[in-house]
Amino acid sequence: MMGPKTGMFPDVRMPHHASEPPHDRPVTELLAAAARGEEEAASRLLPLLYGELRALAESRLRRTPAGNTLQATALVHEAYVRLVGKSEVAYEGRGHFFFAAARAMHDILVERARRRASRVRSEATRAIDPELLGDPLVAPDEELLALHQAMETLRERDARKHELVLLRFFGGLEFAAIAELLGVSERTVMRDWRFARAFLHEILSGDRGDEVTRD
Amino acid sequence: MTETNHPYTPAGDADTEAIFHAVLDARADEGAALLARLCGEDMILKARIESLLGHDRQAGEGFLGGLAEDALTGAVEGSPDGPGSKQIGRYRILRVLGEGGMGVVYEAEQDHPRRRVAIKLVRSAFASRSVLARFEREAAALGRMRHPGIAQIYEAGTASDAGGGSAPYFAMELVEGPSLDVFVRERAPGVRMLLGLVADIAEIVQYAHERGVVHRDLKPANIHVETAPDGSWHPKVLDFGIARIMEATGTDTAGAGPASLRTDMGQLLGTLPYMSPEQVAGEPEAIDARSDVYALGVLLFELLSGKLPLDVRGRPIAEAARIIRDGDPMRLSTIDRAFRGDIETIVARAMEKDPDRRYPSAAAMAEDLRRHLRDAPILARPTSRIEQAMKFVRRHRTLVTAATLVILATSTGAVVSTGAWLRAERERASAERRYDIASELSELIRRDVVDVLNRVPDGRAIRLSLLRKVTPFYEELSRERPGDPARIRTAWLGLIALGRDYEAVGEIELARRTLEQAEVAIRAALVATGTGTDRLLFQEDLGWALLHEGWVEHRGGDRSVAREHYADAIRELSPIVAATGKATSAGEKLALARRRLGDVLNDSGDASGAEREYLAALELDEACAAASPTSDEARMNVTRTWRRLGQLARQQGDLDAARRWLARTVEARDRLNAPALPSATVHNIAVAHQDLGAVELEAGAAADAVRSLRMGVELLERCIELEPTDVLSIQQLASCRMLLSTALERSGATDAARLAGQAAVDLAKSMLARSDPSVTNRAVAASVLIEVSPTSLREPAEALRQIEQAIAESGGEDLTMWTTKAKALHQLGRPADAADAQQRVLELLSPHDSRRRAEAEAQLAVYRK
Repeated sequence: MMGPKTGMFPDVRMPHHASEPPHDRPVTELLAAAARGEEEAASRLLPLLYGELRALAESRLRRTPAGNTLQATALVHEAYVRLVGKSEVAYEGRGHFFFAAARAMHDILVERARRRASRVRSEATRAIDPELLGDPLVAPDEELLALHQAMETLRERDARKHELVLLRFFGGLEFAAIAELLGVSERTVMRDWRFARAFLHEILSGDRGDEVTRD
Repeated sequence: MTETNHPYTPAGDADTEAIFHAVLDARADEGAALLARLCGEDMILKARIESLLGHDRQAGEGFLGGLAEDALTGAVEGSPDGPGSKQIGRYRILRVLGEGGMGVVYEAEQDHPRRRVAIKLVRSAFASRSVLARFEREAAALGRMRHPGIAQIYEAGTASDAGGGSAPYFAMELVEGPSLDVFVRERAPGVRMLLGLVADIAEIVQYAHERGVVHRDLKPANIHVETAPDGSWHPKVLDFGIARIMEATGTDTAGAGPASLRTDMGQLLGTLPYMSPEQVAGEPEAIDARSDVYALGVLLFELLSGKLPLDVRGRPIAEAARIIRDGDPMRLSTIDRAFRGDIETIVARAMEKDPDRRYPSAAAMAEDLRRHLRDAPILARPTSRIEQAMKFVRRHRTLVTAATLVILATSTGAVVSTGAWLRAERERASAERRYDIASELSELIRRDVVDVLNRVPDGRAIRLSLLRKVTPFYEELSRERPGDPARIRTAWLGLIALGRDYEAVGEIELARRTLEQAEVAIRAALVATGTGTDRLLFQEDLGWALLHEGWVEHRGGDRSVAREHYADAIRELSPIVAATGKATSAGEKLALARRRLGDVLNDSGDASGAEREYLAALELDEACAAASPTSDEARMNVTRTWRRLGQLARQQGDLDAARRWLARTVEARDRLNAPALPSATVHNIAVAHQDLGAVELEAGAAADAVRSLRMGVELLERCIELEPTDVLSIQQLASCRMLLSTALERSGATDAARLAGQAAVDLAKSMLARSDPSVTNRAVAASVLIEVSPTSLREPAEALRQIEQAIAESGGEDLTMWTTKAKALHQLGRPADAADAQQRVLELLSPHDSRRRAEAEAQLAVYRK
């Protein structure tokens, strides 16, 4: 008897703070360290963001009235403002943040979709509709998982385009910002994006069949 | 076909990608031929690319958040002659000039008149037709500005996309020259040239100001410089007034709060350095022509020195905003002594924090620049020391306003000392000291003054206005980040208390917002906090905030949301109780959360779940009461749970058990009965009597019921006397009087029953008389109107109207409301509809709640008969 307002995460509500590993360095410090190239700091950002983004996504989805869309962009930026908004972080730290945030967003959503898919056995498998992938937060589980698969194929071919899709779709970043992060021109990013989109759309539509290889 | 700007090797097929783009870049009619030529004999490659091109076309605008050029809108239509040639309105798109926060800018071509134009397609989700109409009207006003220095707006329109949405766009003059920053970097004009250029710009801005248009987003990127055939330079200002249209028509994501929280970081970062203090303060009504004067000052400083007067680049937004509001700008002469004197003074004057102290107009600034250029004395004079001192006071408006509130507080009778504040001000106290004082003042006002007003009849308006006044202080405090956890907690604890106060005066939306702010502040602090005691404290506070959020939803909104809030609160509090023990403040809170979760569960038909939560709460309550035997509150908590167990037993039809639990409750609470009890305690004693009376009535002990209910009415009336705005007591009183009317009638006191019944109806009506009655007000009033005695007083039609509204507003999962609705329909002689409503009650009841199911089914049979 779940009404429509019960929220979108009825079954994955974990105590996010309790499940986090204890950490003693605040985010701002980690970001600064990551910017200085400390590998360890960058790897510890992820769980932090994970917790924060999940909390945000959950609380927002629960309270967003139906009909109001909620964009991943807004969430990531909100997480940014909350986590680092108040303190002085070098500008360079931002890159690490957005990378980590986009990855965290991806992981959270895919993981959740997986968990639900494993529990709810649908009677009939329907065809994947790529057009339902407009916003990662409201995309259906099936589509999200299919996209994840397709993105893995993309990653094997071209890691940078994979990152681009992460940043754009899951991180909600603008092209200019992505160009800066990836260290390429905005034009290149836009071209890459167009190709990646067509590539993913093809796989998701089930048109691609086996990888066509040339001798 | 050399695509060389990929500094990486795609693991896939580089040709595929290169040809894909080549065909996309080609003209539509040449694409197929080009593809054939580039692929040559390789039919597999050709098929591969054709497939990809097909999917590029097929992929809808929304796929993965949209194509770059299409910018989330479908307004760019493929024209009939295929892809590669696209159209917005009557403009043919040639290429993308750039993508900004607002949307995408294209270069486009128009046939009549034949010209190149710039099209700015706005990325937005415009709400309604009226908003679109306003957008077009305002854009038309901008289009009436004709000045060689302003990029002309030709047209504003909305292109409708395939999905039925609308994408507004501007068609405007295509400006050829480089933007001001690029221009200065490349041409390196001399100081006099630059001053002349800025004077020109100021005059252009003045032209717009005279037509009532403020730019609001002046920055080098929005100013281009064209070089005339004779070699002279002419600045051209873009995007006049567009920033305001965007805000006014709702492109700015509403609800995101202050400008500093706008989601569009990229754009904001570019704009921030030029924003005036009033702009960063998020006071749209304070923005006027002088905000543009401020931006011109920053611009002049930057052009002359290559630096920003306030170092805000790369800072977090909130920090940058603070610097703009409070920071002292760098003096131009510290960068180059040559700027000492006039130029420095002109810049400083334009950049005054207080708009009143800036140049009153862009023209006045232009005038001073021109005077300087012709060596005439300028009109601005350096800021004096006294004025600088005054600045300090102005900048600390928070404290000054707080002082005003103190005076108000004193005049309403609370004892307040302003001495501390004055002394602190004189000493220019440290940030922390100011923080403490501000929080102390806020506390004082919230607690003492508001509490005093609770006792004043009709104090609601004043109380509410004071709450509203004090809210910004807490908001401000919660944005501060003092290192000391005790300090940081005052802010959010204050917000939580405020949320509770708002709820108590029936301001659900304000309550919700305030509590959410508290939650946000705590979560943010938790993220930045390591392990240890602080973390536990913060976590307990988070549980506390969630509990209140649940309460607000429970009382005034969506019960399923309430349930989740309570469950969240339990999740936060349980580990603390596990670590620190039951008889703690966390244990008390956990008990409360469990009790309330039990209430919600019970309301939604899960009696066994409710009982489980109540028993868990009772265990905690008893531990707390045992640990502090003298505490009234601890004892009260135990009785709270008893009372609920009593109600539960009653629902399950075990009237004896119900009477036992409730009699225990009454007895324990009556022991608290002393003349000086706070109204909340009196309320609690009252409801215990009421509950007992209701069970006695049900058990057929009408005389006992009359006695209990009379006691309830009397006590509730006292509550309302103490606190006239106490919504809860008013609702309770209405139902208590209603029960009393029935009890009186059953014991044969017809006249007294009519009197009590009339009083119940009157009160119910007054609850509905508010402009926007809450869900609970409607629900309680509806049940009074159908259950009051004698039956001649009943108004089932009105009850039906109210209960339907309440159901609609609350999400429709409350079975009590559906029960009421069924009864109302039945009384109106619509048994079939009543049966439908009753059917809904059955759906909402848990399958395990056999007792209530049986009852509901019996009722259903009655309606069906």
